[in-house]
Amino acid sequence: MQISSKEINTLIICISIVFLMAPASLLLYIRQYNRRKRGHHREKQLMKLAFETELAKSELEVQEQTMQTVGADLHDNIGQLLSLISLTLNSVNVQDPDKAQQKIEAAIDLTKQSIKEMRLLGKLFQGEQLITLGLEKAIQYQVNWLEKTGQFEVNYTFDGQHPATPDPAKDLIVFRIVQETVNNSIKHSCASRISIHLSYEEAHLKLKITDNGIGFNAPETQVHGGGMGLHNMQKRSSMIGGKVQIESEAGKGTGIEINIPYS
Amino acid sequence: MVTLTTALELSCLIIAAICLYQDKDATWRSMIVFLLFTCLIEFTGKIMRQRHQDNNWIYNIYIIAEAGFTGAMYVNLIQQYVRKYKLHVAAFLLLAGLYIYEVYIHGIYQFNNVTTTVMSVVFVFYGLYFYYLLIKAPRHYKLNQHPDFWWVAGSLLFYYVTSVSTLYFAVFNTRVHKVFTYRHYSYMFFNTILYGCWSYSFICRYRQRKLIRS
Repeated sequence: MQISSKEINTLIICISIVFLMAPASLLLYIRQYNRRKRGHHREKQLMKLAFETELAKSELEVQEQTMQTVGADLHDNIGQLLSLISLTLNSVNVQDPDKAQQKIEAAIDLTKQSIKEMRLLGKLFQGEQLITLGLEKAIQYQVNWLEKTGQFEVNYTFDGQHPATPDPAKDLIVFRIVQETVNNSIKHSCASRISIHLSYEEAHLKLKITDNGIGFNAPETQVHGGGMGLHNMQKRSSMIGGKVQIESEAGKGTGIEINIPYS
Repeated sequence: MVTLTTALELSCLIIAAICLYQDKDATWRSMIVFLLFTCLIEFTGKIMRQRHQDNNWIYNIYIIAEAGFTGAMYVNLIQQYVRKYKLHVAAFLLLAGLYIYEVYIHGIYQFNNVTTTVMSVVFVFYGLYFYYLLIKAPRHYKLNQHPDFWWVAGSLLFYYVTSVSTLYFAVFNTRVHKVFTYRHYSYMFFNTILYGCWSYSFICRYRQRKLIRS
């Protein structure tokens, strides 16, 4: 069988196309792969931006919380003490030295108490900055403040050793979660007993907060999207690679366990 | 005397001279010298052919320049990702050994076909290796403005076709025209792609330099 020159031409063109397909496909593949890499890079940048935004938001919320506490304390506690000092000193009658002496001593006691309260308030301000020194210290100050009100029984325990290289960003977010959870326990759960347990084990930070409040139907709340507080908590912990486990039943209190990778 | 190939080479030389004259990278800048040398060899070769003189020896000299400049460029591009001195030395020794062997066997007046074919295969390997490193690199690039990508694209396509057409020499040597063979046409086509890609890569390089300066 003889092959015509026309057939040879067709054959050569076909072979050439087949051979050309290899480098052409390679170049197209590289282009596609590079695009995917660019998409991935953009996604990473967006995630980083979201994390930074959330961090700034947490910082702001921690500051707001501190300011609220300080404001309330100035009004309810120190303000009242100072008014009482003023009233006591105004009622001093210099003609009656014995009574005057008693009133002045009472005013001195009240002033000392005010100074003590002011010192505690000052420590709360420091507490906010203490996040950079360690999460456990910041929580400790928060707990001290709660205990001082005398309305709640707070049990705070800490296990393990703080990592050699702390992560201030993670600490801040965890601290904000603690604040939010404790606020929820007080405001919504009407709890009187709160227990906070913080531990570091196997390159993980574990935080467990339980209360004796009214509780809620956890599975149902989570199915329906949950409240803003729960949603924020889950969002924040997932941003630092953590997992949240919520256990609650109506009338049986609430338990929240957060597990965050921390090395 | 001016054919499509020589016109392409000349225009690529002009673009290289404009775009790479002030380039900081000596290897990129050396492309001007290489293209000038290519044009000189091409014109000399054509003149000799018109005078019915043997021009194989001049193309044999050109192989040294081609292997040297193209190889240096590949090494320069690959070094951005990994440093593989042993690989480059092995490639150099292989090509140099083959070249000397061929010249020793048949003299300088016969074209060094084996060296050219092996050189094409080596450059195809280098091109593929470069793309592998490019894909593996964690950062991404704007490929349509990436000079390295375009330089390698042109070279890879050209040397790939050179290797393939050598392997299928008998088929590609079929005449389509009274004078020209398929091989000739495919060379013309891939020369266009090679110099087109190179010229574009020089322009990208120029733009990149301007962008860094501004």
